[in-house]
Parts: sequence; C-alpha cells; structure tokens
Amino acid sequence: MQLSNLDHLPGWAISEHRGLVQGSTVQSKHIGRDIFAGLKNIVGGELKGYTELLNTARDESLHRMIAQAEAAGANAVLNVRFSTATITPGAAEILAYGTAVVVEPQGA
Amino acid sequence: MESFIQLGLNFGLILLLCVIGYLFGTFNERRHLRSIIKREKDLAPLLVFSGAALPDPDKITDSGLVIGSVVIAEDAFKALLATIRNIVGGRVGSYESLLDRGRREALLRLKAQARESGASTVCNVRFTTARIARGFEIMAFGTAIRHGPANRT
Repeated sequence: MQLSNLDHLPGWAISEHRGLVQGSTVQSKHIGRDIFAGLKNIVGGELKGYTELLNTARDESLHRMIAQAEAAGANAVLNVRFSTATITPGAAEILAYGTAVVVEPQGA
Repeated sequence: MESFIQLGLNFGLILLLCVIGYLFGTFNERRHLRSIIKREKDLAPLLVFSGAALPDPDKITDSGLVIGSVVIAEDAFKALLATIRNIVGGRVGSYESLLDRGRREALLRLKAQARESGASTVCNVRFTTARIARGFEIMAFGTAIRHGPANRT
C-alpha cells in the first residue's frame, strides 16, 4: 500500500477512485504514566511516554485506514490527513483519513 | 490562625514548584535548543517544502509518507507566567518559545525519518497542534521523495 499526502503519486497514474477511507483510535494512558507526566509537568520538556503512546496509536489508525483501503481493492491512499482531539481529560482520538485509489505505473 | 498557616504553606509550595520549574525548565530549554540547532545544521541539506510542487518530477523514483511528532509540556513557571498574562491579555511569550521548540523538534524527526529512507526532499509538509492531557502534541507530516540518477521515462 502506497501512502502520500499529495494528490497524486509521482510516476504513477490513477486509474480508479475507491472513495474516502479512514481509521481512528481512541487511546488513553494508564495512571502510572499520568502521575509521572504530572511530575514532569513541574520541570517541563518532552513527555516521551506520551510521544510513544501517540505514535503507537497513529500507527494503529494508519493500519485501520490501510485495511479499509485494501478491502476496497485500492493499492494506494492519497491526500492522507491526520487529526488529534482530546475526547475526555484522559483520552485522545487519533484519526487518519485519505482517498483510496488504484494506481498503475505510468507508461505501462 | 490555623487556616492562615495552611494558606502560607500552600502558597509556599506553589512558589517552590515555580522556582524548581524555573531552574530546571530554563536549563532543559537551553539544552533542547542547543540540540535542535545542532541537528538543524546536520539536516539542512535535506530540502523541505510546504507546497505540493515536486522538484525534478521526471527523476523521482519513489515517494512515501513521513511523520514526525512530539509531546511537549510546559514547566510550572511557564504555566504561572501564562496565568498572570491571561489577566491582562497579550502575547504569551512563555508558550511561544515552547511551541516553537516543539514544532522544530517535530520537523527534525520528520527530516530524520526521511533521510533514513534515503529521500532527498520532503514535499507538502503540514503541521498540526493539539492540546492533550498535560502537554501539546505537535506533529509534522509530508511526502518524502527519492530522486534517482536515471530518467525513468
């Protein structure tokens, strides 16, 4: 599966359009991490645990989006976008969406 | 009298947290900025565009999505400054430097990922910022492009 946030794929021609695909995860962290982050909040800086957590959640979202695209018979997702939103004080939703298309090598 | 002591203790605790926040926060910020400047110089040859136009389109061999993200939090002192600033309004300088650092860090991670995959350019770079529980999630994403020596057509 090829992913891109451009509206085309260089070197490939779009032959079919298979519609919008999306994948999302709602992720919350366990209380230990939260307490640690609260302490880290005093001195500031990167919250590495949260960075990792959101990266894992984003991978999962992309996975679900790709699964949807595969089910639609596509071999690429173009114009991929992300959005993150706090749902409850302890949880965040990570959404990935894009347009599923069938692409063919140009000049083939 | 008792509540007066309680109040004094509470105030003292907040003051202590702010002093700790100021000392460690300033130290961390300086160290982070030094590291950012060093890595920015290191990754400068890798070109980044916010537009979708592709350089040398007929030499492109490969492309793919790259992502860089960071969750960064303010220290207690920055939070206090922002609270005071909120009363009179205006620019909140303490958060500006925080978000600037976060954004540069996210971009650096994106560039590092692009370089790892052998790309020479990243196009169509977008940023998103979201307030999550105790910090800010800043994310940069774009399309990494690999140029080959041979013309494919």
